[in-house]
Formats: sequence, structure tokens, C-alpha cells
Amino acid sequence: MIKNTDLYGGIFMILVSLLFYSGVDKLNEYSRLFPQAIIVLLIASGLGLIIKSIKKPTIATLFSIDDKKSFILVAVITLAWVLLFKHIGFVVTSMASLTGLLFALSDVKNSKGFIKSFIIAGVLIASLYLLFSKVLYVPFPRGVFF
Amino acid sequence: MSTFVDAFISILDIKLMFFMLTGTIGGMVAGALPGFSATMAVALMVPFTFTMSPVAGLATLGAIYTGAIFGGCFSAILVNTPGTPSSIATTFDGYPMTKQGRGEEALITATFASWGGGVVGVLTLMFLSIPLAKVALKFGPPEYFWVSIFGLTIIASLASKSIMKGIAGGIFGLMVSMIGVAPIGGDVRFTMGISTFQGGVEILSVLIGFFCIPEMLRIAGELKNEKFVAVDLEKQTDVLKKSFLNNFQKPMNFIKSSVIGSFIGVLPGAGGNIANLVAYNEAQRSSDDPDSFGKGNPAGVVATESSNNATVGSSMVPLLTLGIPGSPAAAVLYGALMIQGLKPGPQLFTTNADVSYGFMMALMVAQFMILVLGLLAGKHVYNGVTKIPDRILVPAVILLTVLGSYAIRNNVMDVIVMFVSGLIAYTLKEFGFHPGPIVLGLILGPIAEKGFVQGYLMGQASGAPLMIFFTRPISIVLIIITILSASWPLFRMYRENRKKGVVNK
Amino acid sequence: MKFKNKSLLVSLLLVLLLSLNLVGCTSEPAEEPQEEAEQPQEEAEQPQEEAGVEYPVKPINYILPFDPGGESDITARIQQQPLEKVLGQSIIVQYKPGGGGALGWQELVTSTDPDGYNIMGSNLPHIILQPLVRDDAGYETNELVPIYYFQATSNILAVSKDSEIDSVDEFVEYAKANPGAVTLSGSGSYTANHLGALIFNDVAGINTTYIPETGSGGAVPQLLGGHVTGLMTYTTMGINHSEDLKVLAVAAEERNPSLPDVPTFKELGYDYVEGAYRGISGPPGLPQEIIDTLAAAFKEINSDPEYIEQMQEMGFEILDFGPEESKQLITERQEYYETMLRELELID
Repeated sequence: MIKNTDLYGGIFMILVSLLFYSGVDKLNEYSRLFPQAIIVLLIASGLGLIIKSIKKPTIATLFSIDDKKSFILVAVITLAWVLLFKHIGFVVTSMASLTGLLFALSDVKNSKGFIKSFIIAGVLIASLYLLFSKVLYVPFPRGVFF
Repeated sequence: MSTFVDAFISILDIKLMFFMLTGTIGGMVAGALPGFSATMAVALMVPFTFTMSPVAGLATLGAIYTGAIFGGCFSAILVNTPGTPSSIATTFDGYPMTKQGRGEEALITATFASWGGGVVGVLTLMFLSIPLAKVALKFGPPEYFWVSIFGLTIIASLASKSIMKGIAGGIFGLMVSMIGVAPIGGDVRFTMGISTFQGGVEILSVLIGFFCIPEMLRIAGELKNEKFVAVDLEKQTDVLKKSFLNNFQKPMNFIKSSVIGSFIGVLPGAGGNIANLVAYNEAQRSSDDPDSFGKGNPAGVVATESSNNATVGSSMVPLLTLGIPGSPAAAVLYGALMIQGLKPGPQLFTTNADVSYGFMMALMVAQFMILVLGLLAGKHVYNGVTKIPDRILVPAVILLTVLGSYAIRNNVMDVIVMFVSGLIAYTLKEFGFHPGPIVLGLILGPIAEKGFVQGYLMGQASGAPLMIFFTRPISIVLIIITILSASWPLFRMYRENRKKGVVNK
Repeated sequence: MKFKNKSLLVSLLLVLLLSLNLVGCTSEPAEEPQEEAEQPQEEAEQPQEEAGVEYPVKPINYILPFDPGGESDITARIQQQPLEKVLGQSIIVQYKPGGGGALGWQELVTSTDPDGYNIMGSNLPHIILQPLVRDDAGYETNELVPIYYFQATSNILAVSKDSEIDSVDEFVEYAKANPGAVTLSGSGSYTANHLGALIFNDVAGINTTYIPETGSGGAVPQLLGGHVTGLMTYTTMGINHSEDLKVLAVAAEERNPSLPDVPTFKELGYDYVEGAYRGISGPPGLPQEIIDTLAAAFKEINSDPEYIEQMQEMGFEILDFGPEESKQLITERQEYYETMLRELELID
């Protein structure tokens, strides 16, 4: 898609400043001193971008990705991974997600490819899990199964 | 001088050397793993040092710290992910070099730079501690405020195409850094209902998200077009020579960056994370070919890696002279010193001189260790990583980002923040917002706010709240530097236009 | 298209089933670190057998809700080996910083199993003030189960070595002559240092400006660099930097053994006692037997003369508040702070 990036950039900045502005009321004098100044600057920069979008706009082609499907798969699987990690536990979510990622990107999309993905995922997760939890003492969340 | 020689001899102990070597390697691995920070690596090893003599314990911790700050360049160069915040700017030129098939050169260049910068940092610690510490003390809140404003002017060099977007991005970063407990006032701000945000947005998560995720997504989307970059299998000695010359043939860059790193490291609260960006900015500004930065100019790697390793030695200055840690990792060392029964401070140079000098010599040795390790490992790591096909590399790196962002402070929210900020960064990049200025705002925000509000309070006490920012000698110097730095890009544009004008005529 | 999606779904289900098998094979996380090699295992107490539950049988995580390097960290490090000897299991120190401790305490209270293998450092007045002052600290003071409060650092008022002020009275005089102009730096907002400065203002009838620093370590450079007039900080800072600081008074009931020449505020006529208490807490629902075992362990290490000497040398005061006494202490302090904050108009 081809868009006027300055315009969207400016709108984004203004929206963010409004979001933060709504959180300023309850703050005491010193906690709000700096944020208020930054909010003003952010609005100013947003307006600046909007003005630029009218006078000397930057039009660019966005999201020109060749393989949209792989891209979206990777994004969605990883998003599910990070959101479910706490609830279902580290090992299960990671095995599922990593296998999914490897399989989604592989060029051999049949059961042999799947087994290969699963094994690679297993090896990676096992070795890194051991490294992190036993050597580096990082306690991973334990979920429903593990 | 004899104290140094004595100290050097005292550390020529096989066991100590072994511990230091293991520490350096461990540090390098920890530094290379995104999310797992140098401070955590040092903290992890502290219990192991209880049974060692004070010098051995400190030497090992120092070796880990050195290794970790160096190790950050590996992931920065190979997968565009700063392994530690001290290597953020290494991604700017290091990763493009990898994409051009010159990754090994980048790694070896970084090795020489880190070694050299580290040596300069330790020399600073050895010979300039006392005067530097005195100067560092004079930096109060107003000075820290101006330092962070100066830091923000770097945005100009990072913004590449659109300065307006760069500025907006920087301010956006400043805004997001306000989330959490206000440093003055104590109120909890902008948590938007997510109570984990009481602790603020974890900068390491965002770093990983901003630099690594967009690149991984991009590669995923372009797998079908895997272009095989013709990697010139250069002779090993050629790469070595080229990398060495990158650093030392025109030494100004290296020298300036090491000095910048040494100085910034001394300031408590400012460390490698800021030094590497300032050095990068300065290198670009004074280069004959500034536009080549960000596209694979090794000078960028030299600047960042020499400055960040210089902070290792110099961040020990306030610790050893005044008992004040100059960086979070130094704070851990402070704890370790306390437990060993050694009071950090001037006493360390008098009653416990053998410990402090021994530590300094050991730190120097550690710099040479990373030189050797880096030269040995560089080629193998590079070959190893580039041989992995992207379709496996991408999932593996994503796994590392999940693990790494969790390992920061054992908090699941950090992982979510990491990925979500990655998605946001990708989108913002599409719209023309470079991640550099945003990250800069995030890092400098707390420093700027603390400096500003504390200074304001100080000023209130003397009647004129804002005057205090303009009436102190160091502040005035900083203001001048900031104005120069901010107007440089405009000056450059003017100069270029004039040149163009002459040609056209 | 449909076929591909179906096989993906089946694959994911298969993955789930196969992972379950992996569950059985992987062992518990965290082994004993190498330092255990020097632990004389014969000295270890047998794990307590209470109502059929043996404790402890595996390593215990001693979690600190702060960054490494602070007072809580140093204390934990000193306690680590003695605790390992007494309990017979490894103690692993971990960090979960954020929100001035709030993130850690929130996690303790909402998502930690009450099995005694995850205990967390807790600090007064932090755990009282945060829920009181913040809309949503993520936890309530009484949700933390106190096990033992073992150390305290009282507030001290300090000026630099070459300051002309030599006593608290002179300080108060100076402050009265320059209202609002005297600045004191300390650690954090809504902490013992902060409240201490406010209480001292109230008691002495002066108006000093408190400038919070993040972390105790940050306050001392402010004074040394001449950016503030004095410090309202902890006894530990006074001792660590004794060459650079002049400690005017300590806000305790009695003089601190490591600062014998420093009078208490009470001695000088100022009714000001304040400081930070540090201890250990467990998640809600922690069985009494486990609490008792842990409390006994802390009590034992607290009575070791070597340990006491090490702690006192650094300026820490040894406390012995067991589970019940801690609860009383906390309730007392809760009432005190609530009244105090209302008086100072910081809360309604």
C-alpha cells in the first residue's frame, strides 16, 4: 500500500500524547513536571509532521513483503507463544511454537519436514533450557503441564 | 611504578588466570545472549568468589564484565540484536557488513576495537582515577540533565532520512520511558492498568524487540528470494590485516572513541549504553564520508566497540576512589567488595593497595584475553552462524529472544513487551521512523527527568528554580557542546548546498 | 488451502501430546552450585518432618525484589552460606527488580506457590507505604506472610566532613535561617529516608527540601559534589563513607555500636526514630510448619557471633522479630504511617 507516511506518523504521535495526557491528572507536582513538558513536545512534533504531510509529503510504499504468508505465520505464532507462555508453561508452549515456526518456514511441507522441525525444536529447546535454568538459574514459568 | 610491577607479579597465578579465562569466556557468552545482561552475569558469579582471595574474586568478576561488554558485539553484528545495550550502535554498521558478506571483518574489527578501548579504559583507571573522580563528583543534577540533552542531539545522525521523524521518535521514546514509578514524587505513572508497568518498560526487552524482531520478520518474508551473497573467502591474514588497519591506520576515530568511553564511564549512572551512541555520533560527524555510516562502514564498529569497552575500566574509577559504583555491574562489585570485608574508597589505594592494584592489573590482562579469544572465535562463530540456513536461524533466534527477554528479571511481561515492541518497531520502520532515536529517548529519559526535577528542586531551594541550569560552570560548557552538536547537521547541509551551488554555477 | 491448514492443526496437536512425554523425562530445575563442595553436609539438620511433609528437600530461592548490589543484597549474600549450613539445602539468590520492590512483592502474593521454596526479601516501610500511597501496588501489606525480620538500618543525618555545621542544633539553626534552602538527599520516594526527612522537618520546625535519589548509593555523591546540604540516609552509608561524612545524629532508640560517638535524635531532644527494617516473607498460605522452620533457621544464624560482627561492622542492626512479632511490628507501623501520612497531608 502506498501511503503518506508523514500524515500517519503525525497522527500516531498525537494519539500517543493524548493517551499519556489522560494519565497525568492524578499525579503530584513533581511526578507530572517532566511528563507534561514531554507531552507538549510530542504534540508539537505530531503537528509538525502533519504540516509537513501537507506541504512536502513523503509518500512511500509500505509492507511490500514478498512472502506475506510466512511473514504473518511467524508473527502470529510468536505472538501466541509470548501470550501463552505464562499460562501453559515454558516447555509446552515453546515446543509447539518453535516447531510451528520451523515448519512454517521450511520448504519441505510434509510429515517428514514436520518431524525434522520437531526434532530441531527439541534439541534447541532442551539445550538452551538446560543452559538457562541450570547454569544461569533462571526460573521458568511452570504451567499446566510443565 | 613499582607497585604496578608488584601487582602484576602477584596475579601471575595459574589458578587466578584460569578463573579469569573462564570468567571472560562466560562473560562473552552472556554478553552475546540478548537479554542476559553483563550485570546479571557478574551477579551470578559473586557467590563463587566468596571462597577466593579478594584479588582473585574481583579479577574474575572484572573478567566477566569485560567479556560481557565485548560479547555484545557478536549478536549485534551477526543478527542485528545488541547483546547488551552497550552494543546498540554496533548494529548500525556491523549488521550491514554481515549482510554484505563482511561479517568476519566486522567481528575482528570489533575485537581489536574492544581490546584497544578496554586498554585505554584500564589505563584511565590506573593513572587518572583521582582527578577524574573529582571532576565526576562535580556533575550534579543540572549537569546530568544537559548531558542527556546533548545525548538527544545525536538523533540527527541516526535519523538518516527524516530529521523530523527522528525528533518525533526521540520524544516518543522519552514519553515511554516515563512509564513506571516517578524518580521524584514517587507516583506510579502511565501503567494503563498493567501493574507490571510499575517497574517501567524494560529497556532490554525493547532493545531486543526493536532491533531483532523486525529483521527476523523481514527475513521470514523474503526467504523465497534468498540471494546468495558471494562471500569472498578471503585469506585469514587478509581479514586480520584489514581489521587491524580499520582501527589503527587512521587512529583518530579510535582514540576519540576510547576517550569518550573513558570519560562517560566515570560518570555514575552513565555507561557503555550511552558511550557507544555518543562515540558513533562523533565518528560520523567527523568523517569524510558521513553518509556511508549505517551502510557498513567499519569506522562505525570501531567507534562503538572501543568506547563501550573503555567504560569497563573507567566505571571502576568512582567505585575504587569514592566507594560509589559507576554502573550497575560496578554496584555488584561493590557488594562483593563489602562482603570480602573491603571498604571501597580511598582506603583501597592505601591500606589495601595490593588488592586494588592487583585488580587493575588483572583487568588489563582481561582486555588481552578478549583480544585472543575474539581473534580465535571470530572466524568460527561467523562461519558457524552464516552456515545456518535462514529458515532455521530465524526460529532459533526468536527462541533466544524469548529466553533472553525472560531472563532479564524473570518476568513474563518482559517477553510480551519484547515481541509487541518488535511489531511496533516494524510498523514504525515502514513509516519511516528509525529505531535508534526511539531507543535513545528511552535510555536518556530517566536520566533527563532525574536531572531536571532534582535540579528544579535544588533551584527552588535557592529561589530561582530554572536559573540553576544556566549558572553552573560545567553546565555552561555542556550547553555550548549541545548547541554545537545540534547545529552541526544544519551547518553541514549549508556547506553541501553551497558546494552544490558552486558546481551548478 | 484447507488441506494445509488441517495438517497444521493436526501437527500442533501431535506436538502437544509429544511434549507431555518430555515432561516426564525432565528433572527439577536448579542444582546445587559448585560452592556446595565445601559444605560439610554432616552439619546439616535433618529436614523437618512435620505432619509428614519434609522440608526442605530441594534448593530454596531467596528472591530479592531489587537490583543487585544494595543493602538487601549484601545481607542476603552474608546469610547465604550460614543458611545453607543450617537448612542443609542450597540457597539461590535471585533478583526480580521493578517498581521499588512492588513487582517482586506482587508476584510473591499472586503467583508464588506456598511450598516454601520461594521466599522473598521484604522491607519496611516499603511494603506498608506502597499499597497505602499507590492506587494499585499489585499487593496488600497483609498479603505477605512475614517469616522473620532480621536487620534494620536507622536513618542518619549527615553533612560533609568540612561543613561548618557540627551538630543537629546548628543544622536546625541554619535551616531556620534559610527556610526552604537547605537540601537533603536520600534514597527514594516514600521510603524511610523520605518520611524521615518529613518527620524531622515536622519535629524540628524547619523546612528542608528532600531530593530523592534512586538507590542509597546515589545520595552520597550528591553530598560529596556539593549539590546538597546534607543527607538523610542509612547508617550503612555513614559507616562506608566515614572519611567523607560527618554524621550528626542517628534516628534510633539507642546509639549504633559502629557509630558510638553519634548521639541519637532522642538524646538531643528530637522525637525522631525512623529507619528501614529488612526481613523475609513468604506467599499467602504458607504452612505454619515451614514458617517455623525458616524462622528458626534465621534465628540461629542471627545468633552467630561472627555473623553479628560482620553485619554490625557495616552498620546493620540485628533484629530478631519472629513470625508473630513481625506481624505485630507491621501492624504497629501501619497505624503509625497511616496517621503520619494523614498529618503530613500526603494521603486523605
